[in-house]
Amino acid sequence: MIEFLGVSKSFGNHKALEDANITIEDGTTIGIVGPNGAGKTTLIRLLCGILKPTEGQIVIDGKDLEKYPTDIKKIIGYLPEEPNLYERPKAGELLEYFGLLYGVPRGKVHERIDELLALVGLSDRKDWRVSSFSKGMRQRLAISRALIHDPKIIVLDEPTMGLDPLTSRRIRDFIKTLKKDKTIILCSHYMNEAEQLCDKIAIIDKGKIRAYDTVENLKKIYIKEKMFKVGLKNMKSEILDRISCDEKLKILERRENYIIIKAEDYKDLSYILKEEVIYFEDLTPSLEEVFIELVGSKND
Amino acid sequence: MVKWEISRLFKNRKFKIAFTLQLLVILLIIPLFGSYVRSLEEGGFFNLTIGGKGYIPIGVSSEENSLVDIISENDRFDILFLERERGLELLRSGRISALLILEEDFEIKIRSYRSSTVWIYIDEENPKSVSAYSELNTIVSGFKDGVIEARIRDLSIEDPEIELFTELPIGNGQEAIDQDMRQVEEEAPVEEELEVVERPSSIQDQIERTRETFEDERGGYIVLLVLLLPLFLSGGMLIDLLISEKERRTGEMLLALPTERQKIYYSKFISIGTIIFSQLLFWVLALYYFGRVSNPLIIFPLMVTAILLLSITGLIGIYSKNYKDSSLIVTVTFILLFIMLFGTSTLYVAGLKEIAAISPLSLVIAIESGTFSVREALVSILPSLGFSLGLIYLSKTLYKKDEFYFGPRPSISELTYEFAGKLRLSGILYSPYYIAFIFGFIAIFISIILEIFFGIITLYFIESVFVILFLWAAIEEFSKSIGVFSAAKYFPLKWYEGMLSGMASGFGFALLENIIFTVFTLNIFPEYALRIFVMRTFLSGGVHIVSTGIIGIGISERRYLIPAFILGIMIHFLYNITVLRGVL
Repeated sequence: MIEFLGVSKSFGNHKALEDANITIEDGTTIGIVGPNGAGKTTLIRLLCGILKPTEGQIVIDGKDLEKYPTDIKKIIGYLPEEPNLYERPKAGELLEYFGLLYGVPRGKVHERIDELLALVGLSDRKDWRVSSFSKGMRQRLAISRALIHDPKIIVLDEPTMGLDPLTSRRIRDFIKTLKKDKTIILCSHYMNEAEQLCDKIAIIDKGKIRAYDTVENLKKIYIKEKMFKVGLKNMKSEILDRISCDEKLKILERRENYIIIKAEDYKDLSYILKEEVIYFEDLTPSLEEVFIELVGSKND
Repeated sequence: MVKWEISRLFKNRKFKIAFTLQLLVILLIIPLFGSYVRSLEEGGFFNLTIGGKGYIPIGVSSEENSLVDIISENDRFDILFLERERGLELLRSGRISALLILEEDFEIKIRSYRSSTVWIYIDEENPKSVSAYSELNTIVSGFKDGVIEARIRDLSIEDPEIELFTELPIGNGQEAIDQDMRQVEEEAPVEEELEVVERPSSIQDQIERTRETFEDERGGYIVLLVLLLPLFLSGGMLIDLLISEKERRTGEMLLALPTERQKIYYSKFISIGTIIFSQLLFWVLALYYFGRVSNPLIIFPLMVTAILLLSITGLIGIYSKNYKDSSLIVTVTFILLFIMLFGTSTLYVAGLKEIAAISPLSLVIAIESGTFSVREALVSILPSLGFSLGLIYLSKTLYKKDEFYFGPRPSISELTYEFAGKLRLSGILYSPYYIAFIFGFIAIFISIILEIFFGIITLYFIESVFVILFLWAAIEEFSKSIGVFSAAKYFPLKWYEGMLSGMASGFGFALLENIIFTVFTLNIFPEYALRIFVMRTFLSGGVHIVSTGIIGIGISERRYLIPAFILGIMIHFLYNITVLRGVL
């Protein structure tokens, strides 16, 4: 379990992160979302022990990160925003270096390298110099580097940023395979990605964690009204009148074959749905709307 | 990690090029330097003697006399005592480089005020012969001057007429061998008078003394020039290792590794250190093998110099955010370091050995000329090593700070504030005074650099000691005032707090200055060291405290800033004059 207990980080007079309090359960996938400069990267660098908190404590599996950095760093795999790879070595050499430094036994490191390169589809590039790799290949190699010591916790900072859709999907699918037995902390600009991959989301803005919950709960909490598109076989005037009179419902749009209704909850539509429904669509806003609701107005 | 860094270095193209260039330069120096020297010497306008112990084999006809005793003290000569005919034979075959023939009654003649002739036979085709002639000629001339001086003193008579025949060898081969050089020696009643070393009485004497000393120790000086090349390049490589990790962000991954942060810095330092030590060892052994170095022990002071360079460049690498940032600091530092290292070793060659001994490079020269002692070695090595260790500790401490990698880099003033601004004594915060005191220490280094730089320039254009004394007073006061300005930046100071801050800065400055002076005094006049320390503590220390205290008032009460500076500088200047005039 990872616990952020009142963690703050300042650089000079600038507070990059302020009083962060979150708990991450083992085996969950957490998304950290927020606008540029919100403090996402600071938060995950603190988690990886790259930065030291100005205030507060980060406790992982009951151990204070500041007191036991070496022990804790051994169980964390980190993929930074940029792959940050050395250019001269070959892919295999690079992974060997990091593997040995992470404490992978010399006898097992090559086996692990082959396994990981196969997993990210770079088996045939083991003896290629990193400088010859494309951006997508570098990202996949960097993922291998983050996993070389089979860490319990994986921290991924913008894993798909700047990649083509195909490579992005490939990486997302790969992350899904990791979800089975790892704790994953994923920092992303893409709400869909976070919504798709994460069990819980932390929304961070101006160094403060504005919200931290499951996607469903966040929507419940921050999106007060939902929208539904309903098409009925017979658009009876009495039904439409009833909807108009219902305080909980509001017709936003009325067409020949369907209506768009704003409601607080799905249940409020129950009497309409008793009619002969030929089309139904939940137009409830996505995580992006939650994000905009939380962050957008403050940044305008 | 060290292994990886070394392997990365050897794979680095820039390193490969630099290493190959060093290899070529140093290897080429061995044959080329000999040719260079030869051409210079044959040109007759300049001569240098290279090589180490026993480099020049010479023949001497007589064993027991004072001139041969002096020649024997020169380590570069490998002396064979032989008859004239045998000597000429060996000279023709190139087995010896020169043949010195003395009259059988040479010693009796010079002790009984009679002239004696010395023949120097050389082979012009042999480059070593020209060096041998130059060395022998210098010794014989010195011997002659010495006996003349001794005679004047002891007999209190007027200058004797000196007959000196000097013909530079002309022609070559057999003809050259028969060409004799005659030096007419004057009588000398007491042999030991020759060795008396007097304090130079005039500029001309000083120049002459410098020239002679340089000729004795220039071998070591030249070795320095050659071996400093890889040292300076290695400093650049360490900066490259540290900054490239910042610029390419690869260092972020190193910081995520399960290892203590300072180990990353140490691994880079050690890897570069290992390479430079191996290089030095290789160069020194190669140069020793080819006779350009007489004592491989020079490796130790060179290693100390390498550590000093690496510790300075390491600190620059950590402090700089990027290459652009580091380039200016590196350029300035390398120039200052070069001046300091070479300045001190030049002072050593010029005869000011006690002052110059503090540089490890002076020890290189001393070892090369075979004149070093354990005390001299300790004086040369310990300060540099101590300073280097201090810098390494500082680098390690800064490397552990996140701001030097990710955040806005704190200024020196902010770092001092961070350290000194929180110090408490008996629960009371004396921050402004701590800050000013620490800056007093820093001020001395700033002052030394500026004083040397502006001192030389001023002396060149205006030959006035008073101007220099005023300039130095101003430089020291401005340097010390940085501490008060820094304290005032973080704490609003009342006039008396400004004064106390100024006094604290002056105290810090005076304390370190006195320690430096005392170290030098211990080396030159150990019996006066304590007296000088006490005297300086009360006089110089008092002046520094008072003058900067006054300036401190001006800094806290800005309307008095300029008058306070003028008054502080004038007090300091007056003190400098009184010291110069010998009043104190």
